[in-house]
Formats: sequence, C-alpha cells, structure tokens
Amino acid sequence: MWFFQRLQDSEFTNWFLGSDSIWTYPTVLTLHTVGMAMLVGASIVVHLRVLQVAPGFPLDRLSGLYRIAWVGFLINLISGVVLFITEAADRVADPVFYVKLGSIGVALWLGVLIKRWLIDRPGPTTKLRAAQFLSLTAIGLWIVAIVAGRLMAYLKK
Amino acid sequence: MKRILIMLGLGVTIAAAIVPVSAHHSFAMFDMDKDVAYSGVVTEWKWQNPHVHFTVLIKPGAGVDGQTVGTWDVEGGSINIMTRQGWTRASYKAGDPVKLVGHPMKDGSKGISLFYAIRPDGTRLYHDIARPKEGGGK
Amino acid sequence: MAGFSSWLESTAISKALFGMSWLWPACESLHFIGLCVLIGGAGLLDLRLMGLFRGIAIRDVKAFMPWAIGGFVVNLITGVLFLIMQPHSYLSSGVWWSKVAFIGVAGLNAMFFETRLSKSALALSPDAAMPAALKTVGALSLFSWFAVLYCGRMLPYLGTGN
Repeated sequence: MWFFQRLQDSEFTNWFLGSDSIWTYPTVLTLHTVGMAMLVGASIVVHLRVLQVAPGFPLDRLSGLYRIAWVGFLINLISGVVLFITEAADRVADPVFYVKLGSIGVALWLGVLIKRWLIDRPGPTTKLRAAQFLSLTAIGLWIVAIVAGRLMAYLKK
Repeated sequence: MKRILIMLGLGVTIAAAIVPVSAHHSFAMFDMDKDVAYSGVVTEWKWQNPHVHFTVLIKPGAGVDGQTVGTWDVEGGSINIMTRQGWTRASYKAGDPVKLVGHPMKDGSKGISLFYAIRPDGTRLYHDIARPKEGGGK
Repeated sequence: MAGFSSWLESTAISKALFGMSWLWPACESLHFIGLCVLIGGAGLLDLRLMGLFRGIAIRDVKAFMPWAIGGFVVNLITGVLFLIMQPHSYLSSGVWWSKVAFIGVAGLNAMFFETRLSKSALALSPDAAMPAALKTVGALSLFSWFAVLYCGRMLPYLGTGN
C-alpha cells in the first residue's frame, strides 16, 4: 500500500502533474485516447465481422486488425502506467479502476479465444455461434471499460 | 442485429449500474447559476494537472456569511489554461489569505468550482475565459 | 461569439440540459464509444485505400461503414449537446474550431470519394495496387480523424486563452 503512496507522492508525480508543458500530462492523456481508438476500434471491427457484418471480409484476414489492436494496447499500457503512477494510491483503493482493468482483461482474452477458434485456423468451424456470443460480450465489456475510464476522472480526490 | 443491440444494452446497463454506486461522490456538479463570494485562508495548494485544487478555511466571525464557514475544496482548470489566465504556481500558497468567487456544489457538500480569485490589488484571476455577464449577472 | 455564447447559455434548454448532473459524463462516455466505432470502421477503409489488407475487395471493407457512420452520428449528437450546455468553452476556442475544420475536411474528403471515386474503386480487382488518388483520399481521411481526436482531447489544456 505504502509503495503506491510513495509512487503517488514521488518527485516524478510532482514534476509530471505540476508541469505546464503540453508535452507532459496533456500529451500522455491524448496518447491514451489514441491507443483506445486503435485498440477498441480494431476490436469492435473484429467483433462486428464475427457477428456477420461484412460477411465477404475473410475471417483469416482479421489478424491484421489484431496487430493494430496490439499496438493500441501497448500505447495504452505505457501511457496507462504513467498516469497510474501519479494516482497510484487513490486508484488502488478505487473499485472502478478494477472494473476497468477487469473488463479490458476479459475483453482481450475473449479476443484471443476468437482468434484461436476462427482466425488462426481458417476453414469451416462449428465454433462460429459460440464465437458470436463471445463477440457480443466483448463489445459490452469494451463499453464498460470506456465508461469506467470516464468515471475515474470524476472520482479523483 | 437484435442480439447486437441486446448485448450493447446489457453492456451499457452494467456500466450504468456502476454509476449510482459512485455518484454520491463523483459527479462534481456545481450550481453554475450561483456566484458566491468566499474569503478565507488557503490551507492546501495543489498546482497540478488535470485540475488545480486548493483548500480554503473560512472561520466564523463578524461580517462572514455563515453559509461560507468551513473548509472548502476549490477546483480550478488545467495548469495550461489557468497559466494563460495569469495564474502561476506561486499565485497562492498555504497560509495565504484568499478572496474568490465560485459556484458551490448543488448537494451542499463543501466543494466550489472556481470562477475567479481576487488579488490583494483588486485584479481578478479568472480560471478560464468565461467572464461575468454584462448587466449585473444573476 | 461571446455574445452568442452568453445568449445560448441563458436559454432554458441549455440550463435544463446542463442542470442534469449525469448528462455531461454520459455524453462523454458515448462520445468516446462513438469515436472508437468511427475510427475502427472508417480507419479500416482508409487503410485499405492506402493499400493495406491487399486481396480483400473494397466492397467487403466498405460494408463496415454504416457502423462507422453510426459512431459519427452519436458523436455529432453528443457534440451538439456539449455545445448547447457549455457554448463558451467551445465557440471562443481556436482549438475547437480547428476540430470542426478537420471534421469538415474528413467529411468533404468522404463525399469526394463517394461521388467521384467510389465506382472505379469498387470495380478494382481485390489484388490490384491502389491508384494514387485512392491512397491520398485514405491517408487524408485517417489523418483528419486523428487530428479531430487530438483537438478534442486537448481542449481542456490547449483550448482557450491562446
């Protein structure tokens, strides 16, 4: 616990949050939005395809979207860690933070399952129906993650 | 299509369920129609992004509006925007007297959305570009 | 502008909307969800026009566009609501007007594609190399939407006073 408090009270936090430069807090926050657009945007397109939107789009070519999602995830992992450090103790005690991370984790995992079932092994599959259920759930989870993320901004101390 | 909508609805419902749990603390909604003047002492000064915050202690006394007595959390804008309005890290510090006008929280809890501070020389430091309405305001 | 903002803020509708504490955060969430669907769907088409995802017929990529447009509509509606609730934050902001300009560029670019290039684009073989015109349209669109995102996200920091 005290580790998180030390992060939140650190020199880095003071410098980062107290900086009047556009390249510190505002840029990291904007990068987090860019990462979200890539990660969630690409993921939603994958799930729409699984749900039979654009049925002519080959399932196995969805792997390209996973690459975009992965880059978005990395951008958000890094920017997210930076933002987390500045509020570490408050976040660790915030249930909404866990809802956000939990939904992201499960949504990513569902995406991996869908990739294994439908994309990495092209050809007829009996798993389409099950994958569609996962896609619906994943879309719901991305929505929860975004709402939770917004809520966190209102729960700042 | 129907199932997509059902699931989206479910997702939004789950999300919405989180809201009441946190609403009592979170949605810092201020009564933007009320401009209230406060005069006290800064007890904590946080010059930081995304919002500048400072705490003001107002003690009861002669000439003090009873409704303003207490310890208030004053919320400003981002460092970047406030700097352009003339604020600096050194504008205030703990122990400084402060006069300000702001909008209190609707639910009566001691939070204020900063409109402007009044410097000792009478000049105003606005939190953003908004200015009082002409003709006496509210 | 300041006069118009003041007038708009004094209207019953502005006060009623902004008076609903939950509406602003709800619009923000919807605005973020909308941008993800918009950038996901339109971004994929843009990348295809730029030559990526070769071998997939443009028709099969365009089929995601109704959803992207849906995302845009959600953002247009929530955007107008923000404007009605807090006009002075936007109408006096150069960054906000830049955002509107980039939306205009993206929109005009999309209309140009739809009316002048779409037919020939759809007739291309899925394995064909993309002509320069399509690459340009795709790149301009992708750039514009991210510029819109940048301007929007920077508003509380870059937005006013400059």
